[in-house]
Amino acid sequence: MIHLLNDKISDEIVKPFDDEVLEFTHKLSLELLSKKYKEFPELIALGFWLRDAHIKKLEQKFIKSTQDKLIQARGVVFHIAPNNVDTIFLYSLLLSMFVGNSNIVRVSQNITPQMQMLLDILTKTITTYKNVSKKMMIVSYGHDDKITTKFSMMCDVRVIWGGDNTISHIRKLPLKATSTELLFANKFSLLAIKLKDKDEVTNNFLEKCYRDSITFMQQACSSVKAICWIDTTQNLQDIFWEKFLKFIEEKETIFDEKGSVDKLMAEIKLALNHNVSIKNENNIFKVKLPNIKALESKSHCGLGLFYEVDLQTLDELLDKVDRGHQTLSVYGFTKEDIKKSFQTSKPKGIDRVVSLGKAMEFSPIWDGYDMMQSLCRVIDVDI
Amino acid sequence: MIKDIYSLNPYSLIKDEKNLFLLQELSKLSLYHYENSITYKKIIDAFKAPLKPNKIEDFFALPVRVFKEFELKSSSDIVKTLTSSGTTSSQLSKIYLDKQTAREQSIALVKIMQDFIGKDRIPMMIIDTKSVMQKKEFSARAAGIAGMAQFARKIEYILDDEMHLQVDKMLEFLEKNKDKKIVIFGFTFMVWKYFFKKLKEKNITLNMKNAILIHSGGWKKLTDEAVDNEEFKKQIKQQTSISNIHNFYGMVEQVGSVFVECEAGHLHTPNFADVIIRDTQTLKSLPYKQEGLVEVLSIIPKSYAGHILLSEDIGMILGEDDCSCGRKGKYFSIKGRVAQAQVRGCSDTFVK
Repeated sequence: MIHLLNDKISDEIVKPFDDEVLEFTHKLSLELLSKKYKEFPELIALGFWLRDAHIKKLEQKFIKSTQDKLIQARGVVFHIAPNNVDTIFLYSLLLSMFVGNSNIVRVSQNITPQMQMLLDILTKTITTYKNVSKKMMIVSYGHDDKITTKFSMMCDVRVIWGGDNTISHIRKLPLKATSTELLFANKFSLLAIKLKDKDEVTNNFLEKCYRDSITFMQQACSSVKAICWIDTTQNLQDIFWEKFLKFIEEKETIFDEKGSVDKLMAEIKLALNHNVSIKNENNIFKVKLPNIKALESKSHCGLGLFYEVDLQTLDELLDKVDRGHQTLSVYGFTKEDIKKSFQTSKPKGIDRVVSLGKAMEFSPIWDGYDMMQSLCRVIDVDI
Repeated sequence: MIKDIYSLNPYSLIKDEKNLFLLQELSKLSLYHYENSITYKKIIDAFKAPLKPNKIEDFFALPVRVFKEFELKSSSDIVKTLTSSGTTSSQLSKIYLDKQTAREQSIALVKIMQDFIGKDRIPMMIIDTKSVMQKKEFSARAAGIAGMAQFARKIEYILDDEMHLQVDKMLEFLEKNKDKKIVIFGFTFMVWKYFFKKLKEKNITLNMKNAILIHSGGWKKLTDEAVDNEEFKKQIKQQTSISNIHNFYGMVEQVGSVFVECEAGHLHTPNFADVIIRDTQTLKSLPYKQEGLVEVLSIIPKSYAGHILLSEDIGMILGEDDCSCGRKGKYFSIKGRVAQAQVRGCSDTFVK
């Protein structure tokens, strides 16, 4: 086991949004937004998320939601980060810090250059803030159940950032009886579009489609992998694709070289079970499904693969979604439309509904958890 | 119209003849598989792929990986099932052979190998253990050895069950066949690790000037040791004096139509097989001298739809009909496997 930051940890609890924590994240934000990292959009997004104004808003929301209650951090949180970069686990770490917990983070042994950079920034910035630093420990180790168990028995909350296999494996390792767990399973995200006119397919519209789907090679849990066309003519869909393919081409999007075979395999699996129609153009592979029942998420590999289905109403989609579905990006629907559909369909899945273009934004409410609250204890006072 | 392709020299057809021949044969095969394999039919229908295109590039190529996940059979008369060795994946390919396909595989292999080792049966030393042939399921390793055994007058396996080089047995074999032409056959990695490295370790230099070494099976493990084909040949020659060394590229999904390395160091396509290189992003076919995914085509597979396959190897076509060795047809090189896709997002932390 390698200690990347500190080899011990203090379990002292501090108050939510403590001054020194805020000073640290202020400094971290400035560092991430400095010119040095302008080629790393994930780092910039994190820096942007951490800027003072936004953190202030978070704090106000937190205070508002907890004002009638006595709230206390849970203690020690053990975060198991996903294998690759994906800064998402850092958001959970920061939220946990904000509410006053101590944090142990396990990162993969296979540290990518970008991950290393992020760790360097974090560990360098934190040294000035002794009281923040002593409540954080970052370690790296292989698939070692002994070490995982040791940390599990130390923590009050265990946070596992997927995937499903990791979750089912680590879940077997014991926690203290009083501890809780936050689990982020593999998720599949969708886009529902209702187009009425070809003029709606603007550059801005295409940019948002691109951002929601192709960012992170279409492999984040909130990446759009399927497009549900709600009451939209084939002609409009064709116009969309013609323009979207051109847009993607102009961005010079390149996927991992193994992607094309992975995509073909996903298409073949669908073709053997359903009456699908496949059209692959440039490096974008498309599968039109005969109906919503054919929508299965398991073999979707991202990397420029789109499932499509024609539906009459949003309800038809919501009736079919399950716990494996996370973000629903929407275009052509009002908040009222969404509320109504959810009330009638009572869907089994979907953890977020966002307007087109916002799928990749991190929200402190994630996968159905209000994360800050989940990382706190609510104290019942009856005097 | 070519009546009996196997009666010709296996590297005789020139560009236009071969193209026409392959178009006809592969169209026939595609239609045959379409009518006899429901799995193949469903795939072709979903992709709206042509069964009789105007160019061989326009046939639909099944990813080789399909055989690891699905059963493809176009014959009800299966006599043999081949499985892949599966070094990189836990899933095994399953290839179903009927009598005709098995026979054609063996004829094709004979024609190809005769071009490199001559028509006479000769003594053969196999760098493997005899027990590999006795396993119940026929592995790619066993299939390769069985294919080569057709040329052997006498066979000696020189590894014991624990993969130790049996030096005395080997020396005895070499002594008995001194001054005779012999063939050494084995899988690239095994030749390197269990034969060459052991000889080096034990400080044994051999004089095997009359031997022809034929090896196959991929370079992945050797690349990790920074050994490429040139280095392989150089080192082995130093230790054993073998200068006649031929690598071949082939896969269990297309046994028979293998691509053997010529004297100039190029892999050659025989009359009854071909390669196409495709762009890794778009899968469009690429011009010669550009690197991409290797697609292999063969007129042999009839009992399963393995006639046009997209591999996960990266290679490059070097030229056609004009190799300095004199053989006709396309010649090419293999660079290695495609890079493993980097999984992003919430990928598995612990479980590989």
